[in-house]
Amino acid sequence: MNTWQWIGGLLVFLGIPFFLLGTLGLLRFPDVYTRLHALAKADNVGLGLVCIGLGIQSGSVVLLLKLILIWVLMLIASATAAGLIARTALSRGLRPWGT
Amino acid sequence: MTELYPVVVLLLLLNILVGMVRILRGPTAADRMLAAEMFATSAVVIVLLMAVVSGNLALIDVALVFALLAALASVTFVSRAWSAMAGRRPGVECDDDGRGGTQ
Amino acid sequence: MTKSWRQAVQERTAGVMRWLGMQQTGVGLPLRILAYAGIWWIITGGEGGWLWGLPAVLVAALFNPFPTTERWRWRLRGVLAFVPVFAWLSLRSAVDVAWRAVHPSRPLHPALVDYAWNVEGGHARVFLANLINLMPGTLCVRFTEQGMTVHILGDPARTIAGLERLEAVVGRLFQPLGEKDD
Repeated sequence: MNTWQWIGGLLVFLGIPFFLLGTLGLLRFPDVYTRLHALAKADNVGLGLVCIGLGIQSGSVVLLLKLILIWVLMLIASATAAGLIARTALSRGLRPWGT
Repeated sequence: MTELYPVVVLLLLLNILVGMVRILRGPTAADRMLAAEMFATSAVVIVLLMAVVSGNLALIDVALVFALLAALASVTFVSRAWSAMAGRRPGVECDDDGRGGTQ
Repeated sequence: MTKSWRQAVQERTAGVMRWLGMQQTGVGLPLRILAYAGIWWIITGGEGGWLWGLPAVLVAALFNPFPTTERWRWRLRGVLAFVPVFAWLSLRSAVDVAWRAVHPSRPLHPALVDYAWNVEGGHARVFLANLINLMPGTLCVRFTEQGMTVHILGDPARTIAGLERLEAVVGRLFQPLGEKDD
C-alpha cells in the first residue's frame, strides 16, 4: 500500500465524522434555520473529503475529477436548497429561534 | 484501509436511521425535507464507497445521477409540495398538529 | 410563391443569426464548448465516445440555459484565488458547526443581520447569497435590491467582517465584458 493510498484513506476517514456531527446538529438544534446551518456545512465538507480521498486512492486523474464533479454538484444543490428553504421559511413568517 | 469501508457504510446507514427521528418529529415540512437531504448526501457517499468495495465503477455514475437529482428534489419541494401544504392555512406556517409557527 | 418562400427563409436566417448573437452573452461560446467538452471527458471517464459526445457538447453550448442581460465572464485569476479561500472557509465552517452541535450547552446565538451590497452585478450577488450558506455561521434568509438579511450563529461583528472579506473575493471572480483584465 503506497503513500497516496494512505493519504486518500485518511481523508475518507476524516470526512465521516462530519456526517455524524451534522446529524447530531440536525437532531439537537432548535429550529429550521439552525438545522440548515448544521446540514449545509457539515455534510458537504464530509462529502468533499470522501470524494477527494477516494479520488486520490483511485490513482486516476479522470476519476478524481469525476468525484470532484459529484461534490461540486452536491455543493450547488445544497447551497441553493438551503437558501431557498431559508428564504421561503422567513417569508412564511417562521420566526428564528432566539430572536 | 479499503477493508474498513463496509464498516463505514454500516455506520452511515445507522446515521440515516438516527436521522429518521427528525422526520418523525418534524415539526414543519421543511425540517423533514432537511432530513431527506441528509439522506441524499449520505446515499451518495454510501454508493461511492460501495463502488470501491465492489470494484464496480459504474456505481460512480449512479452517485453522479443522485447528485444531479438532489437539486431537483429540494427545488420541487419548495416550489410545489411546501406551498401546497401551507395552502391549507394561508399565512401561518404550521406543523402537522395544526399548531402555529413557534417551536 | 417563390418570392415569399425566399423571404421566409431570409427571415428565419436572420432570426437564427440574432439568436446566435444573443448566445454570446454569458460565458462566451468558445469557452462554453471547451468547458462542456471537459465535462463530457470527465463523465465518460476519459474513454471518449465523441461520436455522441461532440453533438451533445455543441447542442448544450449553443442552447445556453442561463441567458443573461449582463455581460460578464469569469476572471481566471479570481477563480484561482477563490478556490483556496473556499476550501479553508468550508472546513472552518464545518468544524464550527460541528463544535456547536457536540458542545453540551449548545452555544447558539442566532440573530438576523441586514447586510448592504458592496459588490455590483446581479450574478455576483446571487453567487454570494448562495455561497454564504456554506460559509461559517451565515445563512441568507432574504435577498433584495439593496442587500440581504443574514441569519448568523455567532458574534455579529466578526461575521460581518468575514462577509465583507468574502464579498471582495467574490467581486474579483467576475469581469464585466468590455473591461480590461487587470
